Amino acid sequence: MGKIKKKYEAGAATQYISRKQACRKLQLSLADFRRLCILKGIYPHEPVHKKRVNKGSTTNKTFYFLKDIQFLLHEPVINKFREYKIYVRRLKKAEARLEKGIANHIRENKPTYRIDHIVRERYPNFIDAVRDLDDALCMCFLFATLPKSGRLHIQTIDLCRKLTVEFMHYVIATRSLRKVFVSIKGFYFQAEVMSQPVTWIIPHSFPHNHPTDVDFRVMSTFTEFYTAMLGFVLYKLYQTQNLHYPPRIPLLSNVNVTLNDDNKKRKRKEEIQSLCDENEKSLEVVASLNMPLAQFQDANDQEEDAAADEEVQDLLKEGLTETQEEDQKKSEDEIKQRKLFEGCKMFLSREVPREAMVFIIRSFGGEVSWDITAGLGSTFSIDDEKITHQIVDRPMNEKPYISRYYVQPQWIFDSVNAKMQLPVKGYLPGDVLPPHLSPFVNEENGAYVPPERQKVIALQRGEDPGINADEDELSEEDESEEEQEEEDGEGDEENVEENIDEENESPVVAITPGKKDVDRKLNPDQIAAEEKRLAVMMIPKKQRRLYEKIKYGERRKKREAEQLTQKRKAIDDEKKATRKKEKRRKRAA
Amino acid sequence: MTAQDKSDKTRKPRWSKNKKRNWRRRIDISEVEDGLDKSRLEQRTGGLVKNKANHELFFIEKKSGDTGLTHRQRRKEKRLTADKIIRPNPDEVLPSSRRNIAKLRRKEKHLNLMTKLQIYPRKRKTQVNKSVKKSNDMDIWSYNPRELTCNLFGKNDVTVHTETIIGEAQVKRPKHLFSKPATDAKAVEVAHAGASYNPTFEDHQNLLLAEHKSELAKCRETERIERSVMVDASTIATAESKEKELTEGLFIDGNDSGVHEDETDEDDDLNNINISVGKPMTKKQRKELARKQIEDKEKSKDWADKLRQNEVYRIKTFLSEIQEKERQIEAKKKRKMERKKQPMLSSTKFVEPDHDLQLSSEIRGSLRQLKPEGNLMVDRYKSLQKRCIIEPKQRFKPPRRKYKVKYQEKRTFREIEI
Repeated sequence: MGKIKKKYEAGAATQYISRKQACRKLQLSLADFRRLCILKGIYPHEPVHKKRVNKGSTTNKTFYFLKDIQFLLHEPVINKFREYKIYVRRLKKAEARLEKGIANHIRENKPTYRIDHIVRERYPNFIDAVRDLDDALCMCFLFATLPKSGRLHIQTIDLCRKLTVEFMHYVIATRSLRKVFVSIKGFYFQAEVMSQPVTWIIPHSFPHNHPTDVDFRVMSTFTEFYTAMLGFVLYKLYQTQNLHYPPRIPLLSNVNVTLNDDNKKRKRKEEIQSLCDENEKSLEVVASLNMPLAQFQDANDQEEDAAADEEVQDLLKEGLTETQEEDQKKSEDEIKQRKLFEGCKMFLSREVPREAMVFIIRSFGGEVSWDITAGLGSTFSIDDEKITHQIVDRPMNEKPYISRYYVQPQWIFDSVNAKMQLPVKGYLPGDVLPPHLSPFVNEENGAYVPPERQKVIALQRGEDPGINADEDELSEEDESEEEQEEEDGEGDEENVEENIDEENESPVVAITPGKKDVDRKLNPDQIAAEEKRLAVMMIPKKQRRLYEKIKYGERRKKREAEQLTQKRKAIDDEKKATRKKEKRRKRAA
Repeated sequence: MTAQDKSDKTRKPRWSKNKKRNWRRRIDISEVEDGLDKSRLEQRTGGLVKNKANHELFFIEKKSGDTGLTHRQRRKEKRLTADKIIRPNPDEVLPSSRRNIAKLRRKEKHLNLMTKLQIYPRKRKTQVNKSVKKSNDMDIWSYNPRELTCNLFGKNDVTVHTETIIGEAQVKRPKHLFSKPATDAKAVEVAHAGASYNPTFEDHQNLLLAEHKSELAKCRETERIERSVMVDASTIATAESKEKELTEGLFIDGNDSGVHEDETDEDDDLNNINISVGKPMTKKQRKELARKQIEDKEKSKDWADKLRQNEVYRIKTFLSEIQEKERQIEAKKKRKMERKKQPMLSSTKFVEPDHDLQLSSEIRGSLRQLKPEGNLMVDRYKSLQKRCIIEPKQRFKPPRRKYKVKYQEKRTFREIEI
């Protein structure tokens, strides 16, 4: 007879380890274990057979893979944790004994640790780290806005702030911002870093109260890791762009370039000095995001490079396949988007959120400034005649300069998302703004597209959809209706087809002289349709079901979209009718 | 007796002097202690009075003693004893905060000697932490990972060699750790289009509807729990109902049942008697019955066999039935798999947070007047939990006290009694 097999000595029970056991195995306290797991990127797992793993019990516990914990055993940072524990103990003892000198000595030799090797280990390639940038950025942008407290050291806040500023500078330098969405939670941004989409959120600049149901220690450990990671990533990113790291402004005197009057200049200088300490000045100017950064290479060389690139691209253009052409078109669009605000000189009023606006405008090549007393880093004053746009967020009666547009901040956001400068009409101060659409929503084929979006799409195609013709509609009723019809026609081609069908449905009972058959093959659309029909016929029965299902889904979506458009149309009509009535009443009165 | 009493009264109480305890108890040393206290106080406040010269203690008043204060004013100026005690005595010399004066003197002497000999003490270096080796080169991806670790932790060649021999250098990160836990959730989930600061009507309505639905589901769930927990008051046993239950069947006609009791019992007995009807079966009859029973049994068995044999022709139907059932089971399994459950990573269940939204009345439509909603810290925390990076947990609550807290005055400190 063989040996009796004991339970839980093989299989699932030996693959997992509970959290408590893991702590004991690593000889760490729970807090230290948590911190280690976060730094090393070890996650808990739910076993498939909980009862087997948990030795017969079905209570829900936190389990880790045993292999992960065994891997943790080799981490040199654990020793540092232990050193820190001893340090705290020694310091406490010395302070309790009122031994000031000894306590100070111990404090001077506080053990510190670095996690560079963990960052290197978790991200074997640089691009892996770039892919994981979302979390890091969100955390840093959040912590940069937090107030100093007993649990949050000022150094952490400053570091987060510094890193976020550096990242924004990188995005500005590479002009890689793609999408902006202003939600009630904060500003969502999407940039393309090393051809990877990176999304992050910046909170609105209002004080937020600290939530009670969040474990702050966990969050600060994540921040600790992400700040380290972001630092290395930024260094590498700056290197790829030939930029100095940490960022440097080449000429601080640039601040005063546009002012000719000496008196004004002096006054201005004094004001700047009064704004902040001389030591902090350079940092603050960097943080204002309004100056180009110092580069290793001459800017001229880069321009030449860019010109050379364009030439190469022109050469490459000849002889491309269709997909390549599409890519080419896409990249052309991107280049166009990058130069969106080039040549624009914008002035921000005080009530506009400055940092976000400066970041957006400069990421698309615009020039920005603000009132000198509102903050450091402004480059030109409000009386500059070359200003093209002034961003205002309160109703204005007087517009002192005719040479510039006064627009609300949403014009910037919507223009960025539309990848073109939208007409300013509708965004003027005091206007009721058109809705701000989310650029992160992708309308699938056949899905409902709101009319506001349709207008933008039409604009992008270079058509004039007659934006904000509301007022005109009332006076020239017939015209507006015609326009409306036109709009619908442009919106979706299905409508047009249906109209045709309806016309065909009522056949005239009469004999008409026959026409000569036109050679069908001459029409390429018809040929394509024929081919498709044949291809569908050839689908085997098995796959045809799937095909039909997909088609059914599409039809359903289309139907839903149609319903929504009808609904919207009904609402709009009703609105129009009420307005008309009112106007008539007014006229009568 | 009387004479003895008298002598007892006058005589000092005698006590044995050979016990320390008695000395402590019997001898009143308060006078001495008071005297000592007094002299200590004097010492603290400018030396003993008895050693002082007259001119130190007294002075000749050259001004008139009249302060010009009325009786009432003087009374106002009067301080309570309690306050007087607390007020510091200006003459009092506080005990030196410097400890171990002898040591300090010795140090000073040593320092003097050293300066005379022109030997200056070396400045003590703070211990340089070897691990904090600052590398100016921040490009960690240009390093070999092993090299980086050795640099950071200041491992010398011997350690590196030993680690290579024992296989420490070969330890690699498990491969499954390079992929995130398998969930569909993205790192940053962009808010719903209806959560725009100036949303379209449709998007906003969609968001409201979705939130409304989830809220309704929650309400339904709480209602269900309440219903299942609720106890119907009518089903709870009362004293009355208990008594009724115990006396069930005892008193059929209520109170005046004493007389009828026996009668009813008799009736019951009569009813319960088994009365056989007809004559007993003859042997022949019994045999006949047995034969018939066996025949019937065989007949039914034959019929069942026939039916079963006939089922051969229904094989196709059976097969299709089985297939149908199997398909159902498979589909159920699949559905279960598709319904991705959030894994239970701790004793607490992960709860999906509500969407942040603003009601139609709260939307301002202007960036300046915007009132932000929600907390990003909570969002981040929940997102980490949702992606199974950290386990969900409940807020820490301090454990309840087992015993009441008692308050006691410290023995080393007593309240001042005046």
